[in-house]
Amino acid sequence: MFDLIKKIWKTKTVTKTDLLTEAPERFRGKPIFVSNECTGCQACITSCPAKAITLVQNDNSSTISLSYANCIFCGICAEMCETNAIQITNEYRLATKTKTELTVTKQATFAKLLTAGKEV
Amino acid sequence: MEKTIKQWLSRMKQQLGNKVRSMEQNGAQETVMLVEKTELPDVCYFLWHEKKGRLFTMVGNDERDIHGFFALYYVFSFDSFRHFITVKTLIDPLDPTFPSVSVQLPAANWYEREVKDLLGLRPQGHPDPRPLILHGDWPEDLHPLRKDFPLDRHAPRVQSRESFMPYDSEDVTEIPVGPIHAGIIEPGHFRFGAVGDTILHLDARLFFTHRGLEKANEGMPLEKALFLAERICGVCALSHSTAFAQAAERLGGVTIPPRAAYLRTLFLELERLYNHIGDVGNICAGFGFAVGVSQGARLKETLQQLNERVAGHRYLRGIIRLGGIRIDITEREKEDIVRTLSYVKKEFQELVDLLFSHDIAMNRMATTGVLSLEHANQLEVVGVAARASGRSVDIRRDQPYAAYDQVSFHVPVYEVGDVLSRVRIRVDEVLESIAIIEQLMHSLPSGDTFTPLPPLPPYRSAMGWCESPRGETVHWLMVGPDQTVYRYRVRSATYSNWPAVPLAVKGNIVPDFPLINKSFELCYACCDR
Amino acid sequence: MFLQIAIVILLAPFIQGVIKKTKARMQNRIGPSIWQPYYDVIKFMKKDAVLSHHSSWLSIVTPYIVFVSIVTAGLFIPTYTVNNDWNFIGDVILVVYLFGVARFFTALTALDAGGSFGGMGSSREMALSAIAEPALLLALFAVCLSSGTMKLSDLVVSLLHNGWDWFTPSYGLAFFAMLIVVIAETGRIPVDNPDTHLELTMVHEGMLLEYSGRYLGLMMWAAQIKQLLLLSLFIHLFFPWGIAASGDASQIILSFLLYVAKLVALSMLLAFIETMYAKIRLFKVPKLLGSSMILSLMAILLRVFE
Repeated sequence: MFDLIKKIWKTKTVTKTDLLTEAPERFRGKPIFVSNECTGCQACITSCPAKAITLVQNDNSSTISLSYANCIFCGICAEMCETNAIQITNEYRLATKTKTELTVTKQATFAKLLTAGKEV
Repeated sequence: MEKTIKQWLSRMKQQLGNKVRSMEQNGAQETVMLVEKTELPDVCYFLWHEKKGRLFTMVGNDERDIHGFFALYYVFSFDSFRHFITVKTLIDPLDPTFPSVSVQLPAANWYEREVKDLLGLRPQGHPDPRPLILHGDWPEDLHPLRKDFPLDRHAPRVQSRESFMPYDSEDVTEIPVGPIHAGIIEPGHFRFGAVGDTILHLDARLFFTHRGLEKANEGMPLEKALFLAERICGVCALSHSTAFAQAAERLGGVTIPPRAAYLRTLFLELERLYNHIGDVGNICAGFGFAVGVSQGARLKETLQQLNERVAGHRYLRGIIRLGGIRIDITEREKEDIVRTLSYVKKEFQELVDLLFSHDIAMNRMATTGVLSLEHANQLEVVGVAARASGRSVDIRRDQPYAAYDQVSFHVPVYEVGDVLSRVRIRVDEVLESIAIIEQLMHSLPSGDTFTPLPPLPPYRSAMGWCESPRGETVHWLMVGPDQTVYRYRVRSATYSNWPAVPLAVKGNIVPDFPLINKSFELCYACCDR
Repeated sequence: MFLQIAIVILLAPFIQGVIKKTKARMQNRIGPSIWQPYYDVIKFMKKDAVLSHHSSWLSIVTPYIVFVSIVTAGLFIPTYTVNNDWNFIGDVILVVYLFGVARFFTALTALDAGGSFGGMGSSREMALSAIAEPALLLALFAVCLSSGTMKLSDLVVSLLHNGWDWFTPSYGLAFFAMLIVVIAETGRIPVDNPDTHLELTMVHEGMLLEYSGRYLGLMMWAAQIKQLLLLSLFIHLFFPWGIAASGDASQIILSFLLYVAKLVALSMLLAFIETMYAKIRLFKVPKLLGSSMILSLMAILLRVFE
């Protein structure tokens, strides 16, 4: 019985009352679009397992649209992107107030032909 | 070894005579025997009983697009030869029946019921032909796994054909529990027949979390199928993705680079660690030992935070790729692992000493929920539950994969088969896993972390296997003509072990059932897919 | 009288909060706040109740019967003063059988909705109480023998004055016997686990599974009040010092504070025992209660010979 008491005393309180801090560096969090150019190779679109990234065709331009609602945070899109236009961060705070905020977009330029989706 | 296998195989062909229509190789470790469906029970019984094979998995496949027949594959594993023998039979769609093997092999029971539900191939003479996967309220002529059943079709519900064991005496109380439980656990329905507080019989109805993952995977490119394989179960995520990757690699004839093999082994052992330590803590909740629960949970959290720091995900998802591994570790991660594991080892040893010296806890665990060796052998139980009953199976030692042939480890086996033995096995395996990780860290080779997969030949099958924390998991994969999945069959350890739980529960009192259930620690999602 | 009822009703959730907080700290957690049971009772009282179609008028009436009978038992147990106008109506046996009425209705109504867990909880509760009630009575008799009276307030007064020593063996044996019975009657580990989520192992919680809304609030509150009353009984039989004997205001306040302090200490002891042990197998509980009865019998015999 005294071993039990000693063990409980030694462990102290494990739960915390501080607010959450940053996640570890390697944690796979939100993928974001950065300022690097998007060549429109569609490697991210073909390789996404959850179909979270789509190509939206407008009249004279195209945008890549990423929905966090479908994203499984695997990081394949960031691996496949040739220009590093998508990068994985360790951000884990994903809640938004409206559904539209869950989708982010990026303008795509077409250095490659539309049909050249990269074989994964 | 090659000569011995060839001699052994040719001798088997002689003994079976004209029951076997043909015998051919399928990769280095598998031999496929094609038999007529009438000879199926005899050949299977011969392999199981005379030649001491283990029923590894059984797959039913709708191959009408290929050659117009359904196919059944009964795979037997021969650990001493490190070889598999698959008994294959073709079934005419106009007569979708076959003689049941489970009359002589009790382990084939659930496989045949599943094939009847999902593909409509009826086993003749099956001792228990009730619906298994589809809960009896599906129309009898709808079979979802057939190729002509579209994935998004809704089936109309009909009057339930479900039935449970009827009891004659008035003294027997029928106690239904679930699928909605008072605590937050996975859904499963249990129907006890109890006299007072003693259990006479248990009927378990599972497959509430059947999501049809095998069907959903058909037609998917392999890289994406890997992600779906990972999500079959939360706590065995890495085992499932490794087994799938190994199946694809075996089909392509690819050997992964040594560094990838070592890293895969490292993370597999990390998965085993957090599972076993969490399970030991969880068992204390079965009899209200609060200190055990909180200490076990604290250590599991420490390990999951280690997973997050090293692999980026607490449950180790997203680290396997076909042909190798997606992440690499540096010196910093190595030091982190070594430091955390030495802390966890010390604390876990203290927790175990506390648990094993607590009289009430030991009294609750000893002689409760005994699974006899005979039952374990007949039902082909695997994993922790098997080793606790004296059945020494461990696929890491018997058919090594990844880097398990490069490390030396001991496989603990106990004889009694009660809850205490299963806890002891987990405790011993935690210490073994920590020792394996230390060996791996010392001799981690440098080099690439993956090799690319060549285009895979269509309509050929291969298996990948892995020892998850609960036991061996087998993924049987057949690839279609455009590098997509044609048929995917997962047989997890839980699928083999669930039929053994009603046998272990007989004769115990009702309040001991949660304790016995927790000692098996079977994940329903792995079983149901 | 109303002050006594008010104190008993309002203090009960506080004691539950102290027990939960102590248990949490012993599991290395921060735990809920001490006032959380108050928030829970208020929350339940505000919610709608949902009843099964198969239940009868019993499900609606029982929570009120249980609550009232337990609060009535609280009139006879001294809390902060020994002056009690209700003495002539009843004594310690009335208290035990008021608890019995509450237990009877709880167990009966658990069968009302037709669920299997209610039935299992009822049968286990009845089996355990068949031994727990005699054990409680015997332990009380062991103490009552000294002062020759069964009325509680007279009992406490005589304990105060005669100064029954701590070190008399019979008193010590009665102490341990009573402690075991208090653990069994309040439904704590090692007899029953109040925090369990496993419905197949529940004894008291199993009988409450079918209640919701204000009925559940009343049943839980009644269980907490019963716990408070048993602890008060225990304190005043074995640690009666400081209780007010007159109507003097300052003495009453002092006695009330001392009473609360003793309650808190005893609840922490209970939480400590709960953490140290695990739940024993159901069929061993009669042995535990039987040992309590033997201790009481020995105490009685020793007392006769002293």
